[in-house]
Amino acid sequence: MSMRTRLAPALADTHLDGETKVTDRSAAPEGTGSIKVSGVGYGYPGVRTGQRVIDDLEFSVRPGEFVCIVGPSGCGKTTLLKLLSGLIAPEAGSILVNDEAVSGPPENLGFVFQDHGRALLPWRNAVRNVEFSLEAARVPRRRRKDMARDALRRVHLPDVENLYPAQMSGGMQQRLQIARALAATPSVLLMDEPFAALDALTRFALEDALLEVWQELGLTVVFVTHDLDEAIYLADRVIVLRRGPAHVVREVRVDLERPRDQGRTRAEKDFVALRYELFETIRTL
Amino acid sequence: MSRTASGLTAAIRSSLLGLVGVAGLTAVWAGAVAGGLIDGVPSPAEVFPALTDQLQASELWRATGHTLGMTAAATAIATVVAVLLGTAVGMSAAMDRLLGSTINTLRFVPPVALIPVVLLLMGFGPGSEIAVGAFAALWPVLLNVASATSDLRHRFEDMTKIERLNPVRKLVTVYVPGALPATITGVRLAAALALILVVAIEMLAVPQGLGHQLRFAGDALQLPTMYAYILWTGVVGLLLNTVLLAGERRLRWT
Repeated sequence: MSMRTRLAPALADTHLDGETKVTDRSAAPEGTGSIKVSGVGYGYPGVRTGQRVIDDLEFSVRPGEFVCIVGPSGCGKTTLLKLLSGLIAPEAGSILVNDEAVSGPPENLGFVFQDHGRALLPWRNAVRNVEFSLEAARVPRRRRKDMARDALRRVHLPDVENLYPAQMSGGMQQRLQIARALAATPSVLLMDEPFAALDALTRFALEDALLEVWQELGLTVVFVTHDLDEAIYLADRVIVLRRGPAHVVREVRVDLERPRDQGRTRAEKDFVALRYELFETIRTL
Repeated sequence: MSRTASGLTAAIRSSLLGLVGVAGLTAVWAGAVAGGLIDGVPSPAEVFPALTDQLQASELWRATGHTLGMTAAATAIATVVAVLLGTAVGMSAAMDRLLGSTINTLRFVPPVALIPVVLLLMGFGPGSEIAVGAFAALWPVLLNVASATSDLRHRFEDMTKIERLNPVRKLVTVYVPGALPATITGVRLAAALALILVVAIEMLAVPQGLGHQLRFAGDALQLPTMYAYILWTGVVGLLLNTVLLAGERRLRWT
C-alpha cells in the first residue's frame, strides 16, 4: 500500500469544510460512543476469589476518543476487551457503553480480533464477508452491497471484492476484518492487538488506514496493544495496566499533532519523550 | 476451464493411475494360477471372458441397478438423520453430553451383526437392505458433521456473539455452509460403506442385487462368473467413489 493511495479522490470528498475531523455524531443521542468502567473486577471461573485477573478497574473514554491500552503480556488486556464488549460479565463494578449498562454485546459495537481466522468466514468472498455483518444488523438487502463496497473502499480494499480470505495476505485480511466491523457503522470499535501478527510496513499502512477511518467516522476506539510506539502513534490517550490483578497505573495524554505521519510523528521530540516515559513505567511494573 | 471439468479430469486421472496397480495384481494372479500356486481359482483368462458375457446380459445390469438403488436410499436416509443429529451435537454442548456416549457406543456395533435382527424385523427384502446400509452409512456423516460444527462453534463463538446472531441465523449463515465440505466427505465415505453392507446382506439373505448374483454363481459352482461379479462389484465401488469425489471437489470451498 503506497502512501499515495491514502489520498484517493474517492475519500477526499468525505472531508468537509477543511475540518480534519468530520463526525456524524451530531445527530446521535447524548453519550453515544462513551465508555465508563467503574470498580470492575473479574476472575476466571475456577480461580479462587481474591485471585482476580482484573480488580477495581476504573477509567472512562469520551465519545470519539482513541484510547490505547498497554501493559505487560498476560495482564488482562484481552479480558478487559471481552468485558467491554459484553462477551463476559464482570464480578464486581459496572460497565457503561453508550451510557447503557453492558449485559451482552451491545448494538453499535464493532470488534476486531487479533486472529482474522476467528472472524472472517472462509466460504464467503470479501464483499460477502462484509455483508455478513450487515445481514446480522438487519440492513435491507438492496443497501447491503453499496454499504459493503463503501466499507471496503474506506480501508483501501477496493478491488478484492471477489477474493476469498484464503487468497488474501494477512494484512488484507485484517483490513477486511476492519471493513466488516465498520460496515454497520458502530459508535464504538474495540480492537484486540489487531496488527500484532503483521510485518512492520504492513502495520504502518494499517495504522494509517485506521486513523483515517476513525477521523472520518468519528467513532470511539479502544485499542489494545503491547507495542508502545504503536500506542503513542495512534492514541489520544494511553492507559497503562499492570498485572496481577490488572488495574490502571498510569494514563498519558498524547497531544501529538494530527493527522499523524509515520516518519515525522515518530521522530518528534514529544513522541520520543513519551515513549521513554511509558517504557520506564512499564519496566518498573 | 470450469471447476467441474477440471475436478472430473483430476478424478479420472487419479483412477487411471490406480489401474496400474490393478494390472500388476492381475499379472500376479495369472502367474500364480499358471504356476499352480493356488488351487480352485480360475485364471484371468477365464474370468475376463465371463465378465464380458455378463456385461451383455440384462441380469448384471438389473442387479447393479438394484444394489446402487439400495445404496443410494441407505446413504440418503443416513445423511438426513446424521446431518440433523450431528448439527445438534456439534452446536450444543448439552446435546453432546446427552447423545455423545450413545453415539460412541452404537458406532462400534458392527453393522453385519445387525443383519439377523433386521431380517427378523423387516423381512428378506429391500427394507432390510436399506436399514443395514443406512446404519453403516450413518457414522461417517454424523461424526464429520458433529466435529466440523463443533470446530465452527468454538472458532466463531465470540464473533457470533458480537454480531448478535440468533441460533437460527447462526445455523443458516455459519454452521450449514461451514460444515458442508466435511458433510460431503462424510457422504462419500458413507456411500462406500453402504455399498459394502448392501452387497453383504444380498449375499446372506436378500435374493436380489449384485451380492445375490455373486452368491448364486458360487453356489452353482460357476466360478469364473462368481469372480466376474466380484470384479464388477469392485468396479462399481470405484466408479461410485470417483463420481462422489468429483462432486466433492466441485462443492468444497477449502
